[in-house]
Amino acid sequence: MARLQGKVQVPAVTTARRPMTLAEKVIARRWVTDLSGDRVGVPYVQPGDEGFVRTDIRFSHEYVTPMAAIFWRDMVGAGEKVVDPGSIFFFRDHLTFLELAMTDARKAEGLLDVALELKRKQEEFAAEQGITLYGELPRTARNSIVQGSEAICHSKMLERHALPGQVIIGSDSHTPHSGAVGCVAFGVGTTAIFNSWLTKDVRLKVPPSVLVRVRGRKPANVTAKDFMLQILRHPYVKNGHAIGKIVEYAGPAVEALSIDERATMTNMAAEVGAFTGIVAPDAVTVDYLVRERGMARPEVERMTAGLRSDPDAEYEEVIDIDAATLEPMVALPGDPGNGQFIRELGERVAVDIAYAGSCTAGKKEDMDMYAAVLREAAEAGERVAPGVRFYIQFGSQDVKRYAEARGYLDVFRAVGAEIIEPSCGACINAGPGVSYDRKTVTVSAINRNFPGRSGPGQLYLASPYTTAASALAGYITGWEPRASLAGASPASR
Amino acid sequence: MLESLKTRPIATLPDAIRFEGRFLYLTADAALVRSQLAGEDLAWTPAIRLRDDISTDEITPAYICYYYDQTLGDFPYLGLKCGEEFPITRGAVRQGGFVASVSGKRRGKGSSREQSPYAEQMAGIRLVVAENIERIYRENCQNLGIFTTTDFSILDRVRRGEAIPLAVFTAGEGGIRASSSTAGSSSTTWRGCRARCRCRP
Ligand code: SF4
Repeated sequence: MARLQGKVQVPAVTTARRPMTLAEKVIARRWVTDLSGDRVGVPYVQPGDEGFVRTDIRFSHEYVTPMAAIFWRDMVGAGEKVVDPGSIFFFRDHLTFLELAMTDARKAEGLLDVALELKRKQEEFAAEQGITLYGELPRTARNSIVQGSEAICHSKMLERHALPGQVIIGSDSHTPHSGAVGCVAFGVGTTAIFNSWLTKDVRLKVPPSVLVRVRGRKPANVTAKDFMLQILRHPYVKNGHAIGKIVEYAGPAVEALSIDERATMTNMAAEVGAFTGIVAPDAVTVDYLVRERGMARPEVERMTAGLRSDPDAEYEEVIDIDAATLEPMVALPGDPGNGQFIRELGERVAVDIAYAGSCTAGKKEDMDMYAAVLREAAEAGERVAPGVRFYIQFGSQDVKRYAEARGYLDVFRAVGAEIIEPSCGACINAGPGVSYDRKTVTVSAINRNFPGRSGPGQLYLASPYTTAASALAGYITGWEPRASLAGASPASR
Repeated sequence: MLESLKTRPIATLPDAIRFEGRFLYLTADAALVRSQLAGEDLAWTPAIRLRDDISTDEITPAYICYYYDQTLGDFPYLGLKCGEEFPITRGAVRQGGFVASVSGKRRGKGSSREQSPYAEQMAGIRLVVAENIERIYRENCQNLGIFTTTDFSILDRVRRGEAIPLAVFTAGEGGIRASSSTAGSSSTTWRGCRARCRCRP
């Protein structure tokens, strides 16, 4: 508010010509130069420059929208309209399946009603303000069982909305997910979301950049998730030196990844503690936008032109990883930084639950990976190991349709996996696949395993391949493709 | 832009802040956390290991975030795991009269939920000290009015009753916060909740 009245002085950015990283270029283009007006763009920024940046997209989900809506009512006024509602999106994704997962004790405390209020409040505010809400699928009848969500916020952002060169903020730490197509996307709290409804801007101090270079050719059973578990156990990251920084992923092994796999890396910039994660747009990005969004190739090429780091751009740290030396990994329960090669585990770790879903691992290519492992088993007449419950949950309805069209649902059913409609679900301790006691062991393709995250049990983070292979084996194991490697590698997505 | 906002009065921040209340050290040893909650102040030395990697999932587990009002003050650190134990119980932090909360590396990692610092604030915490502090959590603290620092010597100054200049917390923050808080010279005292206090601060 002080800003709109011209009472806040922000030092003008006068950074002189310098080589910039990709993210710095995006930030410079969107830099607000006139706080109570409408001008954006400066030629150069450098780490430490502070001010406001104009966002292209702002989104939030039911955990956050209601609290921000209360701020709006109390501090702005119930009747007032948000700025540019067309570039705001709301999601009902986190707690869709809560009623199926909540313990009776908590229901008795009234917590389910409290949680349902969040859904209602968000719907009300969306309707009042004319904001698009990706909501729940309609129930088939009143009192019938919940049907699932349209999409998890990050899944939908990447599938449908995020574009190279944009600035996107979301009320969620995994907002960097969309950085896979070369935008600057980052998570903010409730207050910042509320402010952005008022101004379209977000406060920012240009962070230093860190370059993560992955070279070499990865083994067929190693994925972007394994890259991340390796990066997360790097001492620089584990000791918190990457906190608040821009992490740019590059190198031949990253360039060889599809957009979905790149999104696993940018998504998990959250676990790195980074401000954001980003990958420079290239031919893979252009193909993706043309294929998945139906955009015109020349338009996409224009959009991505110049979106790469200058050769002499400054990085505070460069982390080099050789993909050829990697093996399938897990992170031991308690923290994503507890990574180990499965071979290093020592004892065999028996699992009770295998969970394949979330924004990180519910994308189309993740389904390709589950299907590649499970199809081999189905063809050999094998099923999920006795005593193991294996859940596969889609990140969005688009992903579900894709899996259906490719015949994956039949494969999943044939091996005895339980298929769940889109939602965050077990990843936020609110859906099928959560644990209910400390002894339960879970192998999961989600992104974080902090204590209590998905129930009181022991949760090991793993790749989609490892999660599916472990569900079949009944203990944690990497995937050893039986067929020829050509047939086993997923379609290029 | 909303015309009505252009004429609203704007509160400014004081120049210095005094913190009154106890320090809660979130240690790796559950027994030490429990004794602090029971009323014993911990004579902390660097030899006593603080919990690292305290995620917002531990500060306010997901089921607590269904609340988004002052009720949250009952719940901070309910998910904090020290060894195999969860030493913090409902209402205990507020009852303890703590004003500062101290931990190790990567404080506030994970989910961006603003419910975490809000719960801490509603339980009386006004100062967070940690070896390093995650970005979103730190910004959320700032936005709500909880001060954060990685400088442990601030704790000694608070203990001596010094008013801590705001500049200490805004150092390295560029001009935005500082320029919105320049009017006059003033100081404010912030207290942790007192034992058995029933207020909802
Ligand atoms: S799936 Fe998990 S990590 Fe992703 S947005 Fe939902 S709760 Fe967050």
